[in-house]
Amino acid sequence: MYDVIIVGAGPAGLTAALYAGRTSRKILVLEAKAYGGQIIKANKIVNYPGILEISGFDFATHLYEQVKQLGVEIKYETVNRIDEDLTVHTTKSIYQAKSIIIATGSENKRLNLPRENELVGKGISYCATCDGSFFKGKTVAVLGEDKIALEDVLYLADIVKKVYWIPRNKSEKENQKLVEEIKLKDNVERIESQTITSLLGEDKLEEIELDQNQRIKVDGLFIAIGQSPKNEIFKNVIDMNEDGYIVSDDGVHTSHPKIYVAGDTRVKTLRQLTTAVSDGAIAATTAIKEMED
Amino acid sequence: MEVKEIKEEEWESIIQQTGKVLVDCYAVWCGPCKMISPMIDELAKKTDTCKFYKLNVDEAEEIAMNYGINAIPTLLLFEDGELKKTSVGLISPDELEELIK
Repeated sequence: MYDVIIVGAGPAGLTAALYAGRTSRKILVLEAKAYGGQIIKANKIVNYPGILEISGFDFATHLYEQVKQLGVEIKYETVNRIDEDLTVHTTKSIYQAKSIIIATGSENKRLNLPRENELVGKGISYCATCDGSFFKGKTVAVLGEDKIALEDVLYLADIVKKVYWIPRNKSEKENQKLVEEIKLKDNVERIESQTITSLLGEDKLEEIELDQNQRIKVDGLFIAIGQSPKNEIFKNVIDMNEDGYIVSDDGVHTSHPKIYVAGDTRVKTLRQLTTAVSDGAIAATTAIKEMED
Repeated sequence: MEVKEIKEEEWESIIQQTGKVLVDCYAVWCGPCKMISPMIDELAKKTDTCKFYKLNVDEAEEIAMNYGINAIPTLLLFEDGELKKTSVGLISPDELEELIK
């Protein structure tokens, strides 16, 4: 029996472990892949208070080491289901908890087109700063209109031969400064289209089809249409909004009295490293306090 | 077994070996690559049915291009010189074990 089981070892989950781990309680962190979550993809973190600059990998590793030093157990197992009575079923085992903190984060939203999964790494990418350098001198498209998409366009414009930018005809007014910067790039062409309807190519991506049957030849496609949570497996026990984010009135409690939430996976206005670690700290201290009450 | 770094000129002789060969294509600036490499080290220690190597794609651009690698980490599994499986992105230790089965 564990006092607290934390699902997810990103910044929110590990911070929860850091706070809970400093008590005499028995804590388990369950992680499906690797610690660190999405922050490991960040080349540079420059907006974390008190740290001038650090790579996402270093940040995550320091946090992980901090948690390990407290003797918190971390297991690499995928959670398949949580029951009402706080039984946690994973790919390897079954655990019983007195309380659970869900910190499963979010992942890049997919287009859900046929062949999309198959072409990841063969032309399709969700991370321009990770994979952009493989497209030196080539032609790419960027789908999306939020801040990340605009930054991707600018980043890629300096590396590749040509960037087709597809802002899906949505307003990108909030980021007017970036839009102005894009306008100054000679190798960026803006394409008016609502979405991509088809991905074409034999062994790799060669062409994309847009609405109205317009086709563009590309070597790469960067999809930057936001994030989506991974909470399907919890919907039997807690409430979520229509996008699958966990609903929490006060930012910590879910609709189940002993299940708490932290980080990107909850309904919130700002998904950042600073807010994720804040959530983790609050969720852990609340869970421990309510165990003692 | 140790995970050896491949030099571009050794490529052919390494992948043409009999049996299974896993190549971890990485770059020093790639966070997810740094996460997967200790997993591969662990697996290599306890596995004798597969040989493990890593390839820095920034130093072997031609190989990366020939294999159409345009995202990292990419894991290439060869068997008797033939490319059998390709895995792109960060995977779990379990998925990694599954890959070399």
